Amino acid sequence: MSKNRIKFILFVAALLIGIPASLIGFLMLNSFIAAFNSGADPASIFRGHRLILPTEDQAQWMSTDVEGTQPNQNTLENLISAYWFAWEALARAYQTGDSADLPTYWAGAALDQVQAADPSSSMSFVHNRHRLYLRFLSDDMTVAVVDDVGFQYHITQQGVEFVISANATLVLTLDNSFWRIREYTIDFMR
Amino acid sequence: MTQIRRFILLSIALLCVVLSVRAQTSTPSPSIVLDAPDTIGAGEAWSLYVNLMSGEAGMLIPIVLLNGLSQTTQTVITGTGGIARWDIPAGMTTQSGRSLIIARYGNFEIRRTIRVHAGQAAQTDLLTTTNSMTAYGDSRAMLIGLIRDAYGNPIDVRGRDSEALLDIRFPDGDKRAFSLTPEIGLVWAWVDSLGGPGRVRVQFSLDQATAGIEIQQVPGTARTVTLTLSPPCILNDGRDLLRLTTDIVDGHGNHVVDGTLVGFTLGTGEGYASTADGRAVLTIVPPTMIGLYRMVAWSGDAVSVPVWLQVTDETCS
Repeated sequence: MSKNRIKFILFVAALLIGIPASLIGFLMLNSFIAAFNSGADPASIFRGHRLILPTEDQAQWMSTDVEGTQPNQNTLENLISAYWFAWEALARAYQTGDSADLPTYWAGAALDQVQAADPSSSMSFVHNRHRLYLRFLSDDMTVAVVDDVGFQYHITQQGVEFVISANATLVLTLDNSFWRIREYTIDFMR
Repeated sequence: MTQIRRFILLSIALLCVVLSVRAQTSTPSPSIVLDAPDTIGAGEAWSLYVNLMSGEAGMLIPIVLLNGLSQTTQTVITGTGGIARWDIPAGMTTQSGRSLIIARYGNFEIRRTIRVHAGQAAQTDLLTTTNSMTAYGDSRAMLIGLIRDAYGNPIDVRGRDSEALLDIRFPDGDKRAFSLTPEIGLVWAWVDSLGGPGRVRVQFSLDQATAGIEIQQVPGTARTVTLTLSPPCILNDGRDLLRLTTDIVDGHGNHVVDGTLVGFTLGTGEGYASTADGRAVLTIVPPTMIGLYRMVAWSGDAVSVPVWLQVTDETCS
């Protein structure tokens, strides 16, 4: 094999590796800058966090009329997004056993409880129909109490599916620009 | 006789049809019963009895227990009389709320809920929505308590108003007890400032849970600015520096907060300094042209009485 041919093969190989690598690098840098500009924890992009709103079927505000401080649209969007992703992180932890995302959306006692629940069993977990009622919002909009009424989740364990309805009451706090669930109580319905 | 026999046969056939239709449409009676306490405390041990109405022994019955976000599965085997028992140890059912038990037997599924109460208050996070508030009752801060039991369950303090109190000591030594408004998951209260500037110490205790924080009561905005010159008369030889000193107090005679911006108008020029212990000092090179110079200091809306600097080529008296 001639020297020029080897050079050409090396050149083509470098192109094949270099173009996708630079494209991926550019996209990651773009996401990083976008996340940073929107006030998100830039590290969260490496854990798959995106600031997107759930659809109405997934989660929806039913009432946001609280005594005292009235929430602004930005706060409501951040709250519902964080709440939805908290459940998504939990579902991912149950499905994959990877609980690295949990501290992004859960904090304090709630995080301890979620981690103590050991969400590492191989189990399918689908949740939807979160109907949210804002019960309390502190005057500086950093502490919120939310009721989630009649949400559903489906658990498939060892081939058996269970459809469960429940109500939940949650306390969320704004820590470092992120809303996180700090306390929760779940009431299951029969 | 034949007609009577036909009538009886037809009636029996009709009866059979009716009974079979009814048997198909009616709900089958439960073949399995779950017996558990209606209420337990968080972390308590308890027992679940599974009763197979058919009385069959040796049957495997899978059970799922959903307690908060934790799930436990267990398969029990019925013994004599079709009864099985699952002993749930202490420290397993720790999350408060209504837990769900699901048992399956063949195609039949039965569910039962059990109420888990939070224990005594063991931990508290005391939060404030502001770290400082203006003294003299001119502003207020929201205080929020997140009270939990030993397992991290939020405590419902409704009905315990006389126990869940904030003890607050203000800078002037006044003590007050503030009652808290309970929400599910937290308690909160507005606290108005009282007395002069200084530290407000807030204490909360309920059962085993205690917490304390401090809020700073800060002086109000500048009300009186007093400007002094040193020296008030200066020679135009350019060998001296002029020192402008301001004392700034709020409406109650207390020094304003450190870092308050003070502006100086020096004839046609301006200068700025910030306060430390209520005092701002600006040192400048004085003008060399002989004359009287009007000097004023201001902070916010408060303006000092003008003072005059004399620059002379003779002796200052």
